[in-house]
Amino acid sequence: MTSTGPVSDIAQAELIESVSAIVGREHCLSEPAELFVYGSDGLTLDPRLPSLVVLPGSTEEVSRVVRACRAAGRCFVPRGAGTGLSGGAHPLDDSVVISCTRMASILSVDAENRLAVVEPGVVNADLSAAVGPLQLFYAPDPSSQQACTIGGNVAENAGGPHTLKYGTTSHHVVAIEMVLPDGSITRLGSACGFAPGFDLVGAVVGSEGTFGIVTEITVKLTAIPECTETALVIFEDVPSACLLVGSIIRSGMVPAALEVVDQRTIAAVEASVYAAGLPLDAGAVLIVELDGARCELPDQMRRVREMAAIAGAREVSIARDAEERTHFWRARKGAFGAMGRLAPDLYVHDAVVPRARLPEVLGAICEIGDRYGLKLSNVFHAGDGNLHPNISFDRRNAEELERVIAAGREMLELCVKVGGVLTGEHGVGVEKRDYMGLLFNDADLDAMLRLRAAFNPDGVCNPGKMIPTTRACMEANPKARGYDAVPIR
Amino acid sequence: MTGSDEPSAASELSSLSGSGFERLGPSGLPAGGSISHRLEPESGEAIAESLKILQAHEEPVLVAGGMTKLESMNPVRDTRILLSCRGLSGIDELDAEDGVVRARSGTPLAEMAAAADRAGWLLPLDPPGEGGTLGGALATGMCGPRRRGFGAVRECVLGLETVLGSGERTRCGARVVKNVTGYDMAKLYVGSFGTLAVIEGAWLRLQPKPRSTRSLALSPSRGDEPFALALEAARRTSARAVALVSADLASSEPGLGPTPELDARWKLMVEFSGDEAVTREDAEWLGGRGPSVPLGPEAIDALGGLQASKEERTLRARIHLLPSALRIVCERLQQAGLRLVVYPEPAVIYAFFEPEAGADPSWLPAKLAVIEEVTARLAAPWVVESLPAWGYAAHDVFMGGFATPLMETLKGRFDPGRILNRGCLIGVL
Repeated sequence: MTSTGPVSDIAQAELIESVSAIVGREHCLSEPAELFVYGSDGLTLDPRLPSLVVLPGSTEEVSRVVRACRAAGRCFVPRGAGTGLSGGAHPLDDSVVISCTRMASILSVDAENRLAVVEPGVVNADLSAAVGPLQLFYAPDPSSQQACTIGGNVAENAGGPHTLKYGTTSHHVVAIEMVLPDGSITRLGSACGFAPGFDLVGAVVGSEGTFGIVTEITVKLTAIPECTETALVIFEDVPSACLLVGSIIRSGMVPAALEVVDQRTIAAVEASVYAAGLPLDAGAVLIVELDGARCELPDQMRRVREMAAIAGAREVSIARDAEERTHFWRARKGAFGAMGRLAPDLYVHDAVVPRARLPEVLGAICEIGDRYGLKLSNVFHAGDGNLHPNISFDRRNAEELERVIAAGREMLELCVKVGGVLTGEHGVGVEKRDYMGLLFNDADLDAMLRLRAAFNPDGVCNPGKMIPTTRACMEANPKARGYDAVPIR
Repeated sequence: MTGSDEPSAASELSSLSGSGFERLGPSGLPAGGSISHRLEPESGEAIAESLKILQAHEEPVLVAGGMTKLESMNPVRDTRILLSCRGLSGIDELDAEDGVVRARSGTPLAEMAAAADRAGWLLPLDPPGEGGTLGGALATGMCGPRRRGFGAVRECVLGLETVLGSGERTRCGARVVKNVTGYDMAKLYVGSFGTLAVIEGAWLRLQPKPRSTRSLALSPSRGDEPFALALEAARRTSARAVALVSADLASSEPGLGPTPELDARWKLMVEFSGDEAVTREDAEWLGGRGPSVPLGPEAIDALGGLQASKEERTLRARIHLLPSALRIVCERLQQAGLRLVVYPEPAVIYAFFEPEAGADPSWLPAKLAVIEEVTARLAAPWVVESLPAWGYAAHDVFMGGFATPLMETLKGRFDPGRILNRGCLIGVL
């Protein structure tokens, strides 16, 4: 029942009326100027105006809005803060955007059991701030954590710099309440982290809003470590920084973060308001963050220093206090903002390769960027092998945009060729949907469609995402894929 | 092959190259089953072709690895053929640089652990009992005593190769340690007891080998609240295994090592691992909380043995709950005569009962009713891990669970003929 053409004025007016009766007219946006900001998430290459934006305030309202959309024959797209970078919240097919930002309450905090129950619109960093006085924090820390919502993090299985030690969102979600695409409300998982049967919570986290709309999330909280030590290690080149990363991983340590900033990024950062005093002639900077018990970190940091020397580090600085630690992180966290000075647009790529292949892959990626005449810089989660080649460009220049796209595809092909994957934390969305065939064959994608179809059988929830379009068409037409004989109970 | 119980698929399976199809002799029958034949395919292709034949003949199979956890699922229904994954064995690759390993489903876990150890890494899987295979560990998702340090089974799975019930070979995930490319299919398969797909092979993430390990047993002081102490121990930086064992159980299991005070109600067993400085500090902290004795790692291993005990008369149940509810639940279960092993975080209680020889069979529903009553109040999910053989006919081992419509739909989509481990998970799956 996906929409196939422009929505008639009458149908639109009827939907506005029915949805307004549920959420209030002030929470139903329909003017082009209001809709504009909902036309894309952080991937701004191909924005599409939604036909309507609805901001429900409760699970019950989400359920009723979904039913209203279905009754009107309209698809819908769940949305958090819109900070995603793969187009997961793009409103394709004249979809109605259902934004969860009004559902922003921390419903409960259970310090004894280290759990919190939150609505999807709670901003990631706000949860850590709220539980900080209890010496707890919410571990997933995507770079957008000051703005992104936990509902969006669940959709994308968001990671961040500290994923290396603490894992992605999936490691921290134990139960969810969600509105399925038929409007029904279901609860999956349990607060204790176990539910008999299939791990449906695990399947939903990272499903990019294509299984339904998550309306309540029970998350694990983590104790703030007793001690944190941060080192800034300066190298002549990226391969040497990667050498140290490999040495640390092999040594048995599990650092909280291992983040590399390359020379091109250093130059951009130092020319910006995020300047951190990094030497402009450095080839790469590696941030090593260790956390844990106070008694174990001095020896670990001593070992890091020794390994850094062997890897050819030019300089190792250890943060003396929290202020200096923040200073060290400025270059890393300010990188994307700094790149705003280089060009009007920034394409933040995201791919993962085996850690041991980082040096050669980074070299090849720079070569690709140079060959296409692009402004390329690299900031990456080296401990996870998670690359973020960033291309600064101007999308008004169609010819340059074509080069950006072509170079991006070549980079992804390279990563897959060495055993890597298309995305480590941004998701597939529309951005990489048509590249899925680089990694998966038809049977693999078909299995994914079987999973999606169990939740979203007619494809009304967030259409056109993750699976290449030709397959999604088959999904909407069971006879085309021979599933019509499959008994669905 | 001859005989009236011959599956109609037998001739096709016999002629299928590499299927390893054979009739079992009387000694080869898995306990409690109606299994008369075995498939032991040598390759993923052979599994896929076998499943296509079985689906066409509507012939269900019992999918198994080391057959060490059959008592922890419902007996399969209408099933005559065992599909053993033991024929798919071997480590394809162990990348010591990256700390990842790829192995075939039937690879013994002991072989994988030894290989990881030789390469300077640790295999973070310790399903209860011995003789398990990689595929079995992933299919059951069951954890042993080191769950606190190793994490859940699903957390070390990077990628899977599977054969769906419908016979398609598929792959999900990859060898890298971070990945959100496509749906997280591995989460769906791990712990599904082989009801959706046959696991053919897997990429796993290894853990760093700790530089130091210290294990000790402690008798909580009389003024100390044992559950609070156990939870505090579990939240120490280097805690890898923390368990409270009720005194009646501790005294009857010599494998659990010495007990500092024999008249204490609980025995706290702890294993710390990590850097030397932190394990020393944590062990000293714990040693200051009561009389303690050092333990060998085998005592911690013995906890896993308890979780896999197969005494014919024994009931073993596993209850998942919040740490804050441990005390009240344990008190009630002990009042009912159950012996306990308690893991404080993630909070799990293993409850055991072994009746006197010749006891009236009514003991079983009575004990199950106690567990049901105490867990229902807390909405705590629980499963039966082992029953006397006569108990399976009357009780679903996933008593604290229910199959949602979503689960039933998934079963139909991945295993449309419902031939994989029919009925073993929550009765209908």
